[in-house]
Amino acid sequence: MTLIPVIGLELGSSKVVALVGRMRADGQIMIAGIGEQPSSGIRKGEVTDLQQAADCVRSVVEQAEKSAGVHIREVTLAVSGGQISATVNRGFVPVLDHDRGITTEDVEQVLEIARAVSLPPERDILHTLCQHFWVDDLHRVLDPVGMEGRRLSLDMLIVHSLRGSIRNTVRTVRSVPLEVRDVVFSGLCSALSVLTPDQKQRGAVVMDLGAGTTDYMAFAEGVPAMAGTVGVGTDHVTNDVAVAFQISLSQAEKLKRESGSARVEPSDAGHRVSPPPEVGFPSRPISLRALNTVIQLRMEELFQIIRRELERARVLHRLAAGIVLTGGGAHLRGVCELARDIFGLNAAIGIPRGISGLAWATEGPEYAACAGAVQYGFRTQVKEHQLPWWRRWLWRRGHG
Amino acid sequence: MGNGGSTLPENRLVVLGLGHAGCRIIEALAAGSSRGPVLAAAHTSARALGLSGTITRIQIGASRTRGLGTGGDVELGRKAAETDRERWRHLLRDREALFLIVGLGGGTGTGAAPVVLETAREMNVLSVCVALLPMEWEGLSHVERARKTLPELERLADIFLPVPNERLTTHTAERQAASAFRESNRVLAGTVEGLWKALARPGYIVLDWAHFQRFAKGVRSPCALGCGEGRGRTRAALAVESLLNSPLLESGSRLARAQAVLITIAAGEDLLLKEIGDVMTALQERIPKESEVFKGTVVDGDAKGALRLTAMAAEAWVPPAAEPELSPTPSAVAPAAAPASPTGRRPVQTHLKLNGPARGRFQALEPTIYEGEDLDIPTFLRRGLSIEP
Repeated sequence: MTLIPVIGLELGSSKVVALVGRMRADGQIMIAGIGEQPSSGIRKGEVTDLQQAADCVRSVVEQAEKSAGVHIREVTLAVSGGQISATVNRGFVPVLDHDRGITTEDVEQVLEIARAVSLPPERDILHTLCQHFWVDDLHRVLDPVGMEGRRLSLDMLIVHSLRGSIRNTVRTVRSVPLEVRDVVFSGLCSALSVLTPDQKQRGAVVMDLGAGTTDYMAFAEGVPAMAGTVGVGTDHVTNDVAVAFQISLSQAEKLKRESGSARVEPSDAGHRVSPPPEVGFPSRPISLRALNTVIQLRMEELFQIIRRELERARVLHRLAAGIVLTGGGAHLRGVCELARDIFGLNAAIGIPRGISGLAWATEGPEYAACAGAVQYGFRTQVKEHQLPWWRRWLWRRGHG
Repeated sequence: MGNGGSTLPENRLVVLGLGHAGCRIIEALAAGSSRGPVLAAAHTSARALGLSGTITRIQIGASRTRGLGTGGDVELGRKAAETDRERWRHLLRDREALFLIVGLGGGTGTGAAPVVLETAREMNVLSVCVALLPMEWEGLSHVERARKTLPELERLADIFLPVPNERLTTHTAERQAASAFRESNRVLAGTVEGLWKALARPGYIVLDWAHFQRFAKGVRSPCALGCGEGRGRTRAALAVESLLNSPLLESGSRLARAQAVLITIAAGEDLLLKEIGDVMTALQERIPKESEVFKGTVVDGDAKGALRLTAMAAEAWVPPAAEPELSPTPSAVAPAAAPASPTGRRPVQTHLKLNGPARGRFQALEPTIYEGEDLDIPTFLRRGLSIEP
């Protein structure tokens, strides 16, 4: 079975990235090309200027084409923003023929029912992800076919978002012009890319600390447990610093990267740092303690919000493997320690796994979402190949 | 991290009593404390101003009323206040805050109060207006006059605390009139005292001036005022009970509906950290989890063994955003030059004054709202933290 290259595309608030992936004979994914550019027309994960954003995507895709020596026509798009959220929906069916045991028809039926969730009119479903089957009272069943029982239930994690926001992003990409093969929640992409099967089994949450938004996805007992996004990102940290010390955004960004830390340390006392000089803005030295206090307050708040959401979804106590941080924000000094403090769980920086090729492109946590989009693209290709051709066609139409 | 913030120097606060009731309450305040903020009393009637020496006396409208009072004429009261606007400007010069205490329904207080509050706003002085509302039996005309001024006062004051006189005296209805009035004056004076002391004489937990401003700026409805007191070994619990029974808090229901609450705890040097903890735990149970709670403690030499609580509850409260009169600049933050203030006042606070719009680069975007808070506004601002650069 020959698979065509998959192009993962991420429209972030700080950068737009395209990764070209090829699958080798042994199933390993190789990154064959990359295109990257600072983004414009995108803020907080939303497209604010369609023209600018589309131009940016076009130039990134051209870079990737050159870099990989391919012609790119369609992409797997990682999305965030749009107030993405998730709920668990349970569907159940009575088993029709007790003697035969549970059949594939029963399973297909319960899948249909578990998917049928009623959302507010302005929201669309992004993903329906199977969690566990239940046969009568027996739960965490992975494959119920053939089992005896009266009732078959299925828990489904429904990931949904505001329609308008995602449509805008898709429209932007289509206008390049490019075809959008799949639209995937970037938190799911990051999770696919960085979590090991063991982490998924023991329970872990991936947090993609982006510039515009923070996307998170939790796995527990091997299945997706919770997903969401917070409209706060590292751009907010920069803005907080700029407002606190009355310096420009670019000075604040540099200060944050060079001297900032997500946690105030006792050793900060007495130290001062200077923002780089800029016309019209002072270059007064600033107390390091004050700088890190501003940063810590913001990051603490962000983590506390996610913690609250995980608690509400009753997922927090099921994450034995702890927290994995990805995205550009994972580079912030002290961010793992802060996460440990707030969640009371282990925290580490995640990098893309199971992927090789352009080392510098695949080793940074900020590429986890895009790399995950590539992996997702191959998964669906593989699944499609296993379907009869007419099923494939129908399925593709549904995703149009 | 909010501790060790800036306190309000006592001489930056002025407590002004307007009209008959206001003057009586200022007297009660003067009798209570040895030192404190500047106390002033203003009236059109010279006789009403026959007060003790520590109070700044302001007689207004002398040319109009010849020191005889307005006889209930609100227009006259207003004109008197307007003619003597310079007196308010002089009183408010170099001040950070004004506590205005006024009894509504008569002529002087009702007419002058809006003028004083306007002047305070013009001079950028934060204003807390405690307005006593007349009882039904004081006469329909009193009640009408008071009712007509209410919207204006709410609009002009940063914190508006309407106090129905009826509520104050419910539990003293059986007593003699004179002592009942004395009691309600004492209650009000005690509450105002608790508040300014928390701002100017901090104890373990500082009610940072910036915090108080934040509370004041976010208020979107009239506030309810309550106070309580306890003595003896279980004084913390007794004070909480007494506060919750405070008639103005309507058996604690005003607390239960509040979006923001300001609490002050005052006692002598013997105030225990445990007592502070007990008070806050007990009160937190009565306040909605989502409310913003501002608190301060006072170590008060005048306390004489009592533990006193005051609470201000705002039913509608919005985290204050950036000042609307500053126009957004493309690069988010304006250069650091301090603006020349209209009265040439030097800023008192040690923390940085914020010039640029706080939402900065997120100015033109849909705000990220989480549980009622606009997350685009810097976290340190919303927590009321002052940054020492």
